Amino acid sequence: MDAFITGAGWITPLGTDLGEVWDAILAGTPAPVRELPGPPGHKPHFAVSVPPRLVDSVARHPRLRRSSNISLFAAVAALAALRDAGLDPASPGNCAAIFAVSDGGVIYTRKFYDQVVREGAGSPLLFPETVYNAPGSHVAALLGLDGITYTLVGDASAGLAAVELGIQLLASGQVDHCLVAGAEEADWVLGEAYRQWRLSSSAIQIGSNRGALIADGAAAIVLSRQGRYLIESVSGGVPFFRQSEAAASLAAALGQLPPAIAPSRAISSANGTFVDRAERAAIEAAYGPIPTVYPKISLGDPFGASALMQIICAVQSLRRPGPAGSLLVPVIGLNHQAAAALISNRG
Amino acid sequence: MMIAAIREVRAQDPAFAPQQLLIGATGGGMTFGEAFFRSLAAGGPDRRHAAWLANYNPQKPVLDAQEEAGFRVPSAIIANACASGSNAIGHAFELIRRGRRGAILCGGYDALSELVFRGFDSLQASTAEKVRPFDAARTGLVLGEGAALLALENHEHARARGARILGLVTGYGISTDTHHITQPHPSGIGPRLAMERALASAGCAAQSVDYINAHGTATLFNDATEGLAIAQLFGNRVPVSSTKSMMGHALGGAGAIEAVISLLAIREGLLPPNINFTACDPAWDLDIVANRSRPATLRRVLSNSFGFGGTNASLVIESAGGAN
Repeated sequence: MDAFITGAGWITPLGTDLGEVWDAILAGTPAPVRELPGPPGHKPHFAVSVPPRLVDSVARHPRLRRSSNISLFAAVAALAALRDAGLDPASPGNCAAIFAVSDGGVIYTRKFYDQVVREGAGSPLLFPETVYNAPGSHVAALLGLDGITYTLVGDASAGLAAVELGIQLLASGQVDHCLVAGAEEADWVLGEAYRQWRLSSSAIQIGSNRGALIADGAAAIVLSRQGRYLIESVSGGVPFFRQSEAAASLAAALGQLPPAIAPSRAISSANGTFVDRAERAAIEAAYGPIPTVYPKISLGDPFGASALMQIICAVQSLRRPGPAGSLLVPVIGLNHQAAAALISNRG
Repeated sequence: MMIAAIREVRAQDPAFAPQQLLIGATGGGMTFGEAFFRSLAAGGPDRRHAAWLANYNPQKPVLDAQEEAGFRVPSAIIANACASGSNAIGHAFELIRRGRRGAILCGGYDALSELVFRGFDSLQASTAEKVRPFDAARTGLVLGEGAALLALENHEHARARGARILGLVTGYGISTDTHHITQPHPSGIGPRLAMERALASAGCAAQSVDYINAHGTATLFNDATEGLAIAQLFGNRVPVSSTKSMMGHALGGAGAIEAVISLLAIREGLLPPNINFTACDPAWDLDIVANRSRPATLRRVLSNSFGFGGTNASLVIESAGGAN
């Protein structure tokens, strides 16, 4: 069974318009960096963040008005993807929804636990939003989906695992469409955590190994059995137990893709960490040097959402006039797996 | 806990070679995140806490277990709150039934954490008293922890290699209750849809189910809706118990633990009891396995798991019969 991407939507620090954000990525335009609000006396941390006005369209929905940013981002991206696919969000039909997150609702988690530490109890309004599947729950409610809803948690590779799961559900005949979304929100405590882990930076410089620039946002695609943008193949995730194994894991993932397809362009997962060299080594060993786009220069790294953003970049690339061919989406996460996908225009 | 569970699987069946791991979890390594946050709140020193952070993500215990067992295969962590463990087993079942995988190691885990404890307390969903599922005097849940894994494999392949077959997963139902993030719709539609879909998936009728291992958290809301849905679908003909009355609620691990309990119930010919039971909630007429186990010949068991976010999962588990 073939699985096609029939709709895409995202909310990024550079906006929500697919074409405009893609142009900014191609131009290497970085999103504005801002300091994350943190406790006084602690180190400052920086991120590229989604402008608050971009969630206005969903923020007053009764189900979402007390939710954390991550759920608002997921809702904006999901609604846009369904509309782009020509589906009515009020009645999307027999549709499953798969979500990928890395750190999840970290803002409310931090607020709730801060109350626990300081006061011995936390607010019942905050706790429900701390669960990883809160964005999936809210979006399912928004769309009236009473069937299959899954949330996968992991590093950036969870996005491709979610796509693979969506393809499995389509192939099973259980659903006609599958919404696959990734979402993440930035917070000071994440900045501090990744800093202590030596994986974050206040700026992104590919190949520098200085660290990733934390970002928030969401990206969503709709998978259907017919369409134009074909997912030729998605590898399974290949685990790595230490960073030095990441290149070999991605090489193994690339080895699962159809050998007859040589990609004309790669949409990189490079983020200024060990990922950059590992990814380049694996790709060059498999395909030689190929033109590569680096979306995280512009968008930062919204970990759980980043693979879906790479896929949307691939779709945008295929939507534009240019050389035909297949696009490679390689993903190396920070502490779980490597995976890869190939996407082609079959229009 | 994950390492202990995977060692047990390896000890029981050294030849089992999974092509994938599907694991449910909801809190992950939350205790490490708590330690990190407390160190920040105390203005503690940097760097030394990096190891805590590395253990925070829910994939880390899975990776540790994979490395321990030498399983260099894809792993996915399903975080559908308290239904996660059943979702992982259910989706693994679907992949094997449809021929996309031959063997999957699936299950779930979760560990007690202060944040989760305080969270359920904030919702007034937990109790300081005995946990009494389906009881008229129930006052809430008691948290537990644990991990459970199933070596799930294509039936013919398992038989061909001479594997000891403990039981069969024959059905899986999933539904999403869009009513509220923590409260099920009072009609019980979410649990009912999950159970109906599991029965349809197994190709069996409600009358053929011999025992229901209920989600049964002993919260007012869960038991009200689950009890109603069970009564609507099964009447009082099928014995029901919640083993959370003995094990506590292991959240992302609960569905997997209860799948193992269902297998043991079938093997031992015993209905596990719903302890601390005094009187059935008058809202429904159910055959609760009150306080003592009962001998029974079990061929088909339904195991329920429901969670925050309105996520509901039901598994049909059957006796291997002559499958060995």
